[in-house]
Amino acid sequence: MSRTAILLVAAAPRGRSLWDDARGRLLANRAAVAGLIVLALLFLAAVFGPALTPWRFDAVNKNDVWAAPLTQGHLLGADSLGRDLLARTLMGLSVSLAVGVVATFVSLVVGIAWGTTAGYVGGRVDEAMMRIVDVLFALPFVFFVILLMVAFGSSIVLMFLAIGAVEWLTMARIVRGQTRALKSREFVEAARAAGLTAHQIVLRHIVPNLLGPVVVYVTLTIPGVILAESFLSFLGLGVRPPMASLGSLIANGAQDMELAPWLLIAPALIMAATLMSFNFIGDGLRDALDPKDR
Amino acid sequence: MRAAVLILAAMLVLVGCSPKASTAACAPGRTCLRMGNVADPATIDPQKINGVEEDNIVGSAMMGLTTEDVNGNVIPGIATRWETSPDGLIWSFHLRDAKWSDGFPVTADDFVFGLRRLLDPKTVAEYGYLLYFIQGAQAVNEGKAPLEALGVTALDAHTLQIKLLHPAPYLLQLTKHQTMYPAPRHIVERYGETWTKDHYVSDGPYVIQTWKLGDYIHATKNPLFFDANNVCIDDIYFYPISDSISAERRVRRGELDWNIDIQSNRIARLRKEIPDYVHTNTWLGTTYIAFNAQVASLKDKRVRHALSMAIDRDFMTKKLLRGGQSSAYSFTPPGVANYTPVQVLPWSSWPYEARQAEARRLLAAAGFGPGHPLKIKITHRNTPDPSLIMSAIQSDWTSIGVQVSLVPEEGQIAYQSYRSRAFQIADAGWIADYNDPKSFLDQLQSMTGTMNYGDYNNPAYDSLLDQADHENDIAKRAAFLARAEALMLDDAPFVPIYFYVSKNLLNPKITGFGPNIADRHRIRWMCVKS
Repeated sequence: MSRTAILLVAAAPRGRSLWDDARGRLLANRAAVAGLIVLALLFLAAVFGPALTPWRFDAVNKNDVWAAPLTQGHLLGADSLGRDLLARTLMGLSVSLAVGVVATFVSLVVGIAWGTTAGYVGGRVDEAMMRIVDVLFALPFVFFVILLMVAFGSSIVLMFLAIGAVEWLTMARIVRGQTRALKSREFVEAARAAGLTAHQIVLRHIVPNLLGPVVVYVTLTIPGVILAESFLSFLGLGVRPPMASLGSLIANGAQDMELAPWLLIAPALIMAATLMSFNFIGDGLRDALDPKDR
Repeated sequence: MRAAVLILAAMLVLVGCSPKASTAACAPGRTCLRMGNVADPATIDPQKINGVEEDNIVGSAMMGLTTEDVNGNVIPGIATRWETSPDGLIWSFHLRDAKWSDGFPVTADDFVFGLRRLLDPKTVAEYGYLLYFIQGAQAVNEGKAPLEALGVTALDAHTLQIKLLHPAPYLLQLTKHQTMYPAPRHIVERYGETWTKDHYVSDGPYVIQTWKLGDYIHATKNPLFFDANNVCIDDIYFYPISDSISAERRVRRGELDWNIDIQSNRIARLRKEIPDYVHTNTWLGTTYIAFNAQVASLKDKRVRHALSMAIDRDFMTKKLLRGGQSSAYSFTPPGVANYTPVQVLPWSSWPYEARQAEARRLLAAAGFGPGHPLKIKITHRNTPDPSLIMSAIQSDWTSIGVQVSLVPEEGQIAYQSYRSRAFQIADAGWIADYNDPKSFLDQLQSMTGTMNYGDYNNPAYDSLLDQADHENDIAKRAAFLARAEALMLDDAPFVPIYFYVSKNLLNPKITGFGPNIADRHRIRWMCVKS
């Protein structure tokens, strides 16, 4: 009997997991696929572009002040100091993407740790932890960041931390809700009956089952973070010159838009493309991972 | 006068979050002027102000012994006539029957009170040093003599006598300056240092009515002003718009009648599009960078000279700003009265590459090189022109192997850190208080105090300025001043960058705006063409 069972298992065609189904649904979503392709191209440009452009992003070219696109060797033109806009846009893109990814990763790690602990332990611990989240939510983001900048000086690392420190709150709430729902499911009871520790249960059984909603939320957090960084840079709180981010480039471009519209158009288009790609991918993932929702 | 806040940014956050699109409505039947004034004043106390934006407001309300006409020339103010002793040391001013805006008479005693108040160390006015040529002023200001030791006396209610240490041909320009405005003794003694808050009275053409911080200051015509019949504009609104680009857009939309600044690299375009709005003119002002005397690596004169010669000034004035500014190799600008600025920096005429090579050599001689680069921080005003210039300087210095970081600060904050010497390299501007080289060179005297940002202290320099003070012959005096300036430029505590031009954006319906080298435009002369 046992022998036939093993044979059956071995001979069975490889099953389709939920993830396989999800991937299939995602790849069938044209907007999401387009988003993936555009985003992949943008990532490649951000990683390799700055090394490939003939100009350095911070090089002041004394003969190229306000050079228009496609003149004097500048594909996208040059800014008020004669710095090549293509090089600056690529640098800005990589800074913005880096901020987006790193800050989102910070929020992911903190949010999952906080949310699963609160949700799994429950009771007073849960109450206390979620009230802390509520309090932090009540802090106005911009003032929080300004305070951090004043206290510790302005740096790009601090900006990662500041944005991440705010973005983990929603993540923690989502994770906590999911954890509470999963906690009473049969497989968790079985694991508990088998004598696994709380730590093992959370890591092996709860976190993997959280991933669906978390992945969706991550893809929607990254553009949110990029926007937040741009907002801070627009206010002059973000990256320091001569460094650039998409936000600071757009801020400078908006100042000079009557004189040199290309300074606004190029970074704004890149920014829009980035945000739309992330949002299409996020939407596609949500549809793919949560079939009930359709 | 400090170029405080010569442009953008102050509360960038506030501007960014809540663009105040509306301007106050002008009441029917009244003539209004809405003026973009760059920044809110730190104070409107006549003895405590020092910035251009403060003078625009307080100078509309207060009037000294003399005042300026539409072209900035000295004309009688509260004093109708004056005479001086043959040796030029004793001046007597005869006052008219003027009134404060609350009806009290303006007396010679109010002038004595104002000057004592300015020089009283308790007032902590920064501008005291400007009047050190008055007998006893320095001792009083340094707390070494009682206030009564000041050589300014009210002979009677209408006669003021001022005794000087040495002849000062520029005295009549200072009697119209904020440092010599009277103070309303009956108000200040009654309400104390906070009199400006609710009990402001003035003796000039306007009365300050309301100050909405971050919004506007409203002043109305003073009916008790002696020449009130000839004042055309009834209401003035001063808007603290730090962002010169949004101010420019508001002038074009007709929401503002006048803005006192234009971002330099937009002037050429504005000249094409709205030529009758743009007014640029020679201005007695210099932008410079100061080296903090406490920073070890900057104590070496070779380092300061290397940094100075590596700055490509022609690129800044001809390519970046293009507003008519000119490259500066002296602290005093061309066009200053009684003087021709010296040109003593030998490298100023070299090609730029040769200057870079020499700068690298000097840095290497001072012990800095690829293995041990010089690292410095520039604190600068975050307004557009300084931001642009400092980015260019950063790039120039990077190319000779210096590691530079920029610290942009809002104008008032930047000057605060200069005063407390919390900077390594400061970007600043200096605008003449009176048309004389001394208005520039005095700033670097050792006794000047906080405004001598680089803490320049050279006894030879001080003594040359002193000799110039006691010299009556204009040519000989100029020679002393030239020697002093040459000495200072060689020591390089300050490095001049470029000479200012004044840039006003004015709706052509406003009349009575006269171009002048001091860029002082008193609103009492202006009117609105219907």
